[in-house]
Amino acid sequence: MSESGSLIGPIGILFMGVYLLSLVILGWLGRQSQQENTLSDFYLGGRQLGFLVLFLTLYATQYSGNTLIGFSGSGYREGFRFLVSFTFMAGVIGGVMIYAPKLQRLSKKYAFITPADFVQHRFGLPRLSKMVSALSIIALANYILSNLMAMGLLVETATGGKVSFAAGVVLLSIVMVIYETLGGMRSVAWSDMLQGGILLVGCAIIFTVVMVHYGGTMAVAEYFASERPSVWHSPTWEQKRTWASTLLLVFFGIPLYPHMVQRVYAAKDAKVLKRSLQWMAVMPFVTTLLMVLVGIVGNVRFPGLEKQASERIILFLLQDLGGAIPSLKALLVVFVAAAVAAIMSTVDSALLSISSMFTQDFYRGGGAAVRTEAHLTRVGKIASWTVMGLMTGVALLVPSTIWALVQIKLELLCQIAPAVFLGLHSRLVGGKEVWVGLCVGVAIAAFLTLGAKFGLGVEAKPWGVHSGIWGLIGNLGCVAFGYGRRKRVLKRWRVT
Amino acid sequence: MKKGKVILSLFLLLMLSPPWFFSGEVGVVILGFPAWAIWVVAVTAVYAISLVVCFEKYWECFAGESDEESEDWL
Repeated sequence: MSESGSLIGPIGILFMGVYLLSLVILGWLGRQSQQENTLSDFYLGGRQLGFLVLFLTLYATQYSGNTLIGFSGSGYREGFRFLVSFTFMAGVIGGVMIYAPKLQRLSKKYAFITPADFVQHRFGLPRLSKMVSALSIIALANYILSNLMAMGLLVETATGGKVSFAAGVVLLSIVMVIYETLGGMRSVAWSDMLQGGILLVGCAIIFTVVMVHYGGTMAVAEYFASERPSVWHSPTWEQKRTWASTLLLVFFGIPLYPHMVQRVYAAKDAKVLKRSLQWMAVMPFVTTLLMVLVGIVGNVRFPGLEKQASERIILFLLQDLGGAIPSLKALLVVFVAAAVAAIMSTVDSALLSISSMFTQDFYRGGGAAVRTEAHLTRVGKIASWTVMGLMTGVALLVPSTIWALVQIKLELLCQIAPAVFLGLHSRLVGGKEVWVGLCVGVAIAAFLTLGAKFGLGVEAKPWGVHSGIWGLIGNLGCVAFGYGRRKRVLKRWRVT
Repeated sequence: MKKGKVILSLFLLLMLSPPWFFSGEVGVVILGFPAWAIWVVAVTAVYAISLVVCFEKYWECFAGESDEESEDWL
């Protein structure tokens, strides 16, 4: 840290200023490239995203600030056991594979804008599609909130308090909402290209320097074996069950984040989408794995950090490196830029997605007197400003104890999986059982998660398995019951 | 049924990635990684490569253009 207490000096702050300005310019360029004033053009970039843009926007969206900060912190604390994150990031693309090829084709044919459009088209049950949309909005709002908090803390730490938490959140939120409402998906995807590039290069540089300087995993093996055998030895059976449960939760949850689905809709064609997803399948090797290993190696230089301090392990390592080798001080700027870029790229995508769901699923779908597509686009932009204002307000004003209420994300989102995964591939899955399954799944997941937080005498992970997975089991049970009944009816009908 | 089998195979491979077959002591250490961590990285690598291959080979099948003619799309 410099004498003033900041991680980045005036040149670093200038660099960040130029970066933020470039985002606004990209927003303006996105607006100039607008082809028509329609929801499809605004929210899906006219369904014309080419390979490089699509790949980098998928990458920047899937890998958030948590990848850089949270994953290295967890790698520091949990050691090699946090390799689960490396596997689940690959698993996400396995989940996307189930729906992307078919949904991309259908979205072009039937002009889907949001995930709920497919659900409505497939099942024709408004209460089901509305619930899918509402659950997605809740999950995304939580996603935005946690990222805004991380962004504010990062800015405050990086500038040594010169830019306060509140000022950081407000400033970056305004920049995001400006470029998002200027050019919609086009601006967001182009800015994601820039942010994804910074993130990719940042991860590679930081990993290489840390590994070379601190002796890599060879050095850490000795430390773990003698000092922390509990994380060096193979996980226990309960930990293995939680490991598998985490893989399941992520496999069924993250692929259904609406901004992920909308990127599938936005692909120029099937070939572009296929190539982008093939590249995404190997990205955990150059992002997640690297950051987890950086956290693990941090144990050698900074042993015994408490949980809160361990979240900043990567900053400690970079400061240490900057002190030992002054020419590496620029790495801190690269890191801060990469972390801010990662967070912003996630928040802007989530914001655009919420705005689209409000406009398409609730405003248009709710029977509002719709005049033109231009009118809907205007409503969407107003929604973006409103949502961002609300989220910023909540991030700054709501006490952290209330946060327990909005901590459920994947537990809710994975309940949508049967509607999309099975709805796409089996004709015998009906809307009523999917609706009942969704209600049952959400009820179980919410009861276990909130019950554990508020001391109702239940566990959030009974038998080491996440509440969302217990919910999904109940959910799938309902769907399977309905499926079996339909199959029997069909068989009888064929016989007669 | 082909896509059902592909989905199931990939899913089982993913579920094979936790270090189910390792317990207690670390045993062999390779490049600073305990054997069970090498297992996780290796299975994940096989999974990721399988995904790339399946995208290439089964995309059309997953896109399901011929689905509408069959009675149950799976």
